[in-house]
Parts: sequence; C-alpha cells; structure tokens
Amino acid sequence: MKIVMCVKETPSTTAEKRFGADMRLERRKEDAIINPFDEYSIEEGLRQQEKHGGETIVLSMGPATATDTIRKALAMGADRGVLVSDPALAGSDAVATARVLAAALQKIGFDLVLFGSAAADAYGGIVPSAVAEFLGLPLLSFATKLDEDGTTAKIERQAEVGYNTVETQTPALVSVMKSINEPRYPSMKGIMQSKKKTIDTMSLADLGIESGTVGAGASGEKALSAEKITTQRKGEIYMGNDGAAERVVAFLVEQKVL
Amino acid sequence: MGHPAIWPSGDFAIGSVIFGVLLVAAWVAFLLRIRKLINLLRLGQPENRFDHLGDRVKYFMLMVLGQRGVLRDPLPGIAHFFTFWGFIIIQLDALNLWAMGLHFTLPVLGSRVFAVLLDFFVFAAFLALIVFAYRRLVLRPKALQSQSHSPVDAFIILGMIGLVLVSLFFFEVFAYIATKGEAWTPFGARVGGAWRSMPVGTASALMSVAWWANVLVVLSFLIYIPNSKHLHLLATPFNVFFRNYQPKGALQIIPNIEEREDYGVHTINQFTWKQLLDGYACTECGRCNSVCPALATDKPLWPKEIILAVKEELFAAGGMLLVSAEGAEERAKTEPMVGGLVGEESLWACTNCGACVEICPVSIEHVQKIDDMRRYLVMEESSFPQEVTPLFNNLERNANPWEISNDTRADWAKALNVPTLAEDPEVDVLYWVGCMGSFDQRNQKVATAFAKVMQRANVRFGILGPEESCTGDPARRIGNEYLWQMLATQNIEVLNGYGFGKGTSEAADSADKPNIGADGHSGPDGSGDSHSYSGVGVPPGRAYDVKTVVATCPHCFNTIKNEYPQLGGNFEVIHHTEFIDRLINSGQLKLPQGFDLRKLTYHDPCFIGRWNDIYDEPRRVLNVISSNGVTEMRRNRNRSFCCGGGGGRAWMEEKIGKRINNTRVQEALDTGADAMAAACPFCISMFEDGIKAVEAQDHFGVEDIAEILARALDAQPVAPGGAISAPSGSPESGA
Repeated sequence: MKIVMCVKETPSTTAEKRFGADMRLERRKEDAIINPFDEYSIEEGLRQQEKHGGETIVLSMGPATATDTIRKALAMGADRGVLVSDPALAGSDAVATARVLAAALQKIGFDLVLFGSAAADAYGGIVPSAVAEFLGLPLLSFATKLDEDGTTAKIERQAEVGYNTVETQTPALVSVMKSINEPRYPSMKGIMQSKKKTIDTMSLADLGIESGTVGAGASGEKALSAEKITTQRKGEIYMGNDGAAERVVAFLVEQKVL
Repeated sequence: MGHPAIWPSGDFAIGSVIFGVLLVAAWVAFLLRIRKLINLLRLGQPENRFDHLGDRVKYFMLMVLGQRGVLRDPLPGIAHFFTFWGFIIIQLDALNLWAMGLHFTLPVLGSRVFAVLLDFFVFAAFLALIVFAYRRLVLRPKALQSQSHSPVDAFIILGMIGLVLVSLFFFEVFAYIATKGEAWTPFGARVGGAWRSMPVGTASALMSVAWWANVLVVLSFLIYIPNSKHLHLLATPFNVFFRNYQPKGALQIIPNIEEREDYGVHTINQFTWKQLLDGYACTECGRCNSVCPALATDKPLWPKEIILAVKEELFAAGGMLLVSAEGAEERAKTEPMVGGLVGEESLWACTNCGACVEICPVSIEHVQKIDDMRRYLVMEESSFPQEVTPLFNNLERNANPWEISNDTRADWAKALNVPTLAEDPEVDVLYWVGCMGSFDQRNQKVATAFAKVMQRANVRFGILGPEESCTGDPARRIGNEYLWQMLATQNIEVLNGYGFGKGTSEAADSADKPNIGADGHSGPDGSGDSHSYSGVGVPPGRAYDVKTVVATCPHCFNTIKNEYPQLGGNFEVIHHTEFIDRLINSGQLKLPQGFDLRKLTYHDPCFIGRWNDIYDEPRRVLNVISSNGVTEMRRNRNRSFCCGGGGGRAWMEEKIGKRINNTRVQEALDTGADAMAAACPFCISMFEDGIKAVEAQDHFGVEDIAEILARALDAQPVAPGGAISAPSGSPESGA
C-alpha cells in the first residue's frame, strides 16, 4: 500500500503575523513549522503503515527551503519526501495549490492520501476537497477514526449526536481531525535516519503544468485587508458551598448548554 | 611469645598439608571470582575517575578509614566503625593463624601489642554485632526492608562474623590455659583464668578445635563474600575512591550526539564501569529509599532497587555478554532491563532531587543512572508521559515551555524600565529571568520584585528578553539531551556575544574546582554559621567584580553554571539569593532590619541546596529581614524534602500516590510559621497548589525571598544610601 501525506509548511502559531503590501503573509524561515494539523495526518499514515505495511511518502508544495519541514515529517518515520517547488508557484491560492498537488499525486501514485483538516496560517480547509475534485476521487473528510483494509477505507466523523460512518473504495483521500490520534515525538534515531532519506524535488515542468495556470496571477482568491483581533476572555468564579452549584446551573441554562 | 603450636609436631605433616590445600583452594576460588567481577566491570563504557588524585586519597582516608559517612547515623554508625576495624584486624590475625598452621610466626602480627588490639576489637565487634542484630530483629527500620531481596543474606553474614569472633575468642582462652598464662590478652586471660584448672592437654585440643573453626569460617568467608551482597565489603572502598569530582549538579554529556548510534542506557554495557561498580558497592542500607520523596508519597520508585537492578542485570546479562554477544542480545529483547528489572514508572517518578545521592554513605550516583535510562526512553523509544510532548514541541518552536511567542518574553518588565542587552549591552549584571519568571503570572511577581531590589541597590543590570531561550534544563532532566544541547548552544552564543564568556584559563580553573562532598556540609539541623558574613569571597563594597549572570531559577542557575561548561560556555553565574546576600554584605543594599514580623520557615530548593551547597545565603538574608529569623522544618538543608517539581516532574501529571507538594506544605505548616520563604519558581508554583490543596491559603502563603525584601523596601522608601540602618559588617541574627 502506498500512503501519501500532504504537508504544508506554516509559520509557528505563536509567531507575529506580518503582511506584505500585496496582503500576502510574510513567511520567515526561523518561524517555519509543520502545519500542526498535518502532524495528525502524518501520524495516521504511519499507523496505517505499521498495520498494513507499504510505503509512506510526504508531499509538500513550497519554497526550496521547505525540505527542512519535510525532514521533520521524515523524522517521525515516513519513508521519503517529495517537494514541488517552482518560482512560478508563488502566490498560489487554495485551488491552484490543489491543482499542483493533484498532478503530483498522479505522478507519485497512491492508494491513500491523507490531509490535515486545515492549515494553521489561513485556516481555509478547502485544499483536500479541491484535490479530490481534480482527481475525481472520493474524499472522506474530518475523520476521527480510520480503518483501511487495502480495498476499502472507512472513517468515523463526529456528528451533532454520535458519529457518522462513511466508507469508500480505495484509492481515496482522507482528511483527519486532531482527535484521531496523538502524534509521536521523533526519536533521535528517527531524526538521524531522516537525514539520509531522499527528498525528490519536482518543478512545474516535471508535472506538465503550464505556469500560467498557477501562481498569484491565476489565483482568484485575494486577501484585501487584515486586522488583528484581540479577544478578551472573561471568567467568573463562584466560590463556596452556598449556592455556587445553583449559580453554575443557572449560567449553563442561560447559555443554552443545559 | 605469641601463640603456641597448635598441633603436636607429629601431626604436622597431615594437619599442615590439609590446611595448606584448603588455603590454596579458597584463594584460587576467591581470585577467580574477583577476576570475573573485574571482567564484568570492563564491559562498561570508559569514564575518567582518576582526576583529583590528591583529593581522592584524602576523602578515602576520611570516609573509609575514618568511617565518617556511616557515623552520621550514630547507633549503627559506631557499631559499623567497630565492625569495620574489627574486621580488618581479624583479617590480619587470620594471617597469623594461617602462619601458625604452617608452623611459623609473623613479625609484628605475632607481637603482644597486636594481640591486645585484637582482643579489644574482638570484644567491640561482638557488641556491634549484637547492636546490628537488635536493629534488624527488633527496631526493623523501614529502610532495611527490601522489595526484592530477602534478609537471609544479612543473617548469614552476621552469623559468620559471630562465628569468627567466638572461635577467635575461645582460641585466645584455650591458648592462655595451654601456655599457662603466657599469651597476653586481657579479655581472653580473664575467662582463661577462670578455667585454669583445665588440664593442658584438654586445653590444647580445644585450642586446635577453635583454630580449625576459625580458619574454616574465614576461608569460607573468602569464597562467600564476593558471591553475596557482602561484595560491598570489597567494593565500597574503591567506590568511595572513584567518587564523582565533577560539579555534582551536572549530568554527564552525550558527546558527538549527532554521530552516535545509541542514546542513553538500556543494556547493561551502556553504563560506565563506575556506574556498574556502584552496584557492587551498594550495602543495601536503604538510606536512599528512606529519603526519596517519590517513595515517601507512595510512588513506585525505590532508588536502592534501581542500584540492585543494575547489579542483578550485570550478573545476568553481563555474564552472558562475557560468553557470547548473541545470547545477551536475545536476552535484551526478551527480558529488557528498562521496562523489566527497572520499571518505566519508576524512572518517571524521579524528581532528580538528589536526596539519595546526598545521603548514600558509599558515593553511589542514582540520578545519573535514572536519567541515562530516561535518555534511552526519550531518544530511542520516544516513550514518555504524553503530557511531555507539547513541552518538547514548544521548547523547539517557541524556546519556552508554552505555546507563547518568545517575542513577548520581556513583556513582564515593560513598566519597570529594565533595559534589554540589545538596548544596553554594557550592563554589569545580566538578570537571567527564566521562562517561569518571564511568562508565569505568579513568578512574574518574583521577577518584578527582584528587579526592584536590584534597582534599589543601584545595580546596573539588563535582561535578554526575546534573546533568552529556555536553558534546556527540563528537556535534559527528562532525557531529551539533544534538545538541551540545541537550546544550550543557542544561549551560549548569545551570552558570549554580549561578552559574558570567561577567559579559557579562568574557566578551566573553576571547572577544576572540586565540589564539596557529603562530608562538607554542616549538620542537617541548620546549625551552620548562617549568621556570619566572613565566608563570602567578594571584598566589601563590591558585590561583583566581573560581568555576572544572576538567575532567580535554581534550574537555570544549575545548568548554566554546571552544565554549560560541557559545551564550552563558561560564565560567572550566581543565584539571586547569593547575589542579594552579597549586596547586603557589601553595603550596596540597605534593608530595614527585622522589618518582617512574621514567623518564617525556609524551603531549600534542591537545585541550589543539595546540588550546589547554597544553604547559608538565603538564611542570612532572611535573618536580616525577619524579626523572628528562620524556623526550620523537620527536613532542611541537605535533608530538604523536594517540592515535587524537579527532574521535569513539573511538566508531568502526578497520578500515583500522595502529592509531594502537599506533603511538604504540611511539614511547613507543622512549624507553626505564617509563611514559607522559597527561592525557586517551581517550588513556589508547586506550593501555591499545595497550599490550596490543604486549604491553608487563608493563613499561610509562599513567597520568594526577593518578594519579602521588595515589600520591605516598598514600605520604607528611601533614597539609595539613605537613612535605613543596616550594618554592613555583621547584622544581628534574628534567631
């Protein structure tokens, strides 16, 4: 079985966000981390591999330096990496990104493709479905549990009450939620081995994509402005034995929780 | 003179031949066993323990020949002293008796003076044996109860020593009778005198019996000792000699970490030879168990059992390794040491408080072994408590333990007008705030208080702000050596960049300074010279003479001071309690003496106390500011009881047993104090929780020494050098 995990390099969640004149997020190398949502899809891919064998491949689109981020995924245990990098890709929106990932996936070949549910920079969350659309394959989205037996993939998805079970034939795409697993911390062995693992780089030409169909020029999605939102958290503390429980209940009723 | 012939010359041939054969056989068995024990040690990794030779010899004299370590516990201590010396002297006399069996007399040992000495020690050692038996059978201290070892061994040895003594004594008695009072042994002569009517022939025969009994028991001893728990009799002197002379607060570095194939310890041959020797040296006295805060709160950690597990694994797996590597590899898979003889839960329960290392009379180093095995679990198996993963990730990404941007590290100081070094690189003192002081709300108050104290003392200081990263201490103590090395390297570059690095020669000097061992402390009752300033090494009028790093966090302080030199970072770094003490001593900080009217107790943080021997400075400061002085807790100074937050435990959940912090808070409450003074952000944080848990927050609190001082300074604002009187020489003690 061939499992591909799609990974994005994002700025650290704690890093100060800065925008350029074109309203594009400035990405500083020192802040770069694996999109935290993707750690769960990497972990899930590794667990499926531990169960069923096969190969795990980390696929990313990004600047040439994104190999560092791919290495971190390889340190967790994935077998090899593929980076799609091309100057013409700068400014690609979600759909353009999906077009490129779909082409790369076709070139690599796969039984199962795993995504995090969104990326921690823009929180768009539409790349998985767009890739599925380009490939004409089913997407099992927002999985909290995944079972795969070589011919079918079955997930559980949180519903308002209980959960839904969704099943499809493979090859298929799956996006996972954070509750699906607990990502592993790379061991030293993993880190050292990751340095020897191969990362292939592909350009647009390798994928047979016209540069005019991707990049900022071909992207319909435009950021117009950005502002910082400060949230004020407020808490109320009810102390003591006298009536505290009643007040908590009253509050919960008021908030329509009870 | 000396002893008579023990058998008539007619029996000479047979008796001597039988004895000679037994003598040679026992020695061959003994030496073969010793050779195997040494070969097992040689399986270990190299480690240099031949530094500080002069100090080693001195310490050996004091601890082994002087029995200083065991004497700290008077009853078994004195008994041990006489058993030890009795044993040595009896062994020397064994040579005498053996010589007799072969019909010649030794010089010196055959003399009367020696006979008297022997006679005395036989008697003293016999009394000591009775003390030991009484202790094991009647007193039964908790420390002596072992999880995995039966007490039978202990009684075999007590019985055998008893037999040696009794046979020797009766030999003296019958020799006295047989030689008609020629032998000159006070105790033997007294009893012998009473039996003087016995015929000489009978006495001679009984003397022979006693001789044979003694010789046979001593020769079986020779075989038994290196095969039993009493191996310690042979190994302890060596272990004490080869004790640690590196700074005791430092864990050993894993060199060339990126070029290795293995990390930490999970097979026996990954320990160093000295770590293996610790196993031989363990006397199973159980002192380490009795002081362990994890064990005291019902967690599955028995420091003694860890050491015994190392020994057991050495005999089992090491024994196989000596034969074939394959067999040992197979064993490592089916019966792993980590997870088998040493449970993972035991390893994670350790707070690295060092109470076990401090109290061990035979210089065993428990904590390094525990952390070595943690290193294996973290770096090879990636197996550790789940709640630690975010800690590691945040340390990597944010250079602090939380999901907070390191850019906000200086925010706590915004209102205080404290420069960063980027703004003023020429400061004399760098205040190393640490993550707790920078980000943790409770400990931001400590940082603020200490900054105010320094401002009041006109210290020209700054902070690093976003250029400061976590020192890496929690990562290293949990076992992530790699992450520690990354963070430490980063910090060393920053510190060197601002000119805080010391010259290489000076650095080598201080790295060479031997640390003071267990014997160097004043007693656990807090009776050291805590009121005198005479010991402070900086001339009056000046609290610092080189660019100095001052840390409020003992963990930051310890790793920068004792561990950064392993990566080439040599800095003058002191803890803020030391610094405040110096400021008062130099007259630079004037305190309203006796201002604080509360009854205060003081908690010694492990990482400035036991690991760095800073006990007096905080107490001196408190004795100036408090009208009541310090009321000591039951466990204080080097016997202090951990808060539960060290060794990375602050970042793990405490799921098993009682809570360590609550236990310590209760001990503080038992003193009747109004508040607990502390000097460590982790202690403060743990005790804040503990105080609430025991519902004492209405009448009891925990405060850093800097906070206590800052309040006093706030209440009586005066211009620097103003009217508050604080004698710069020797402040009166409040005790």
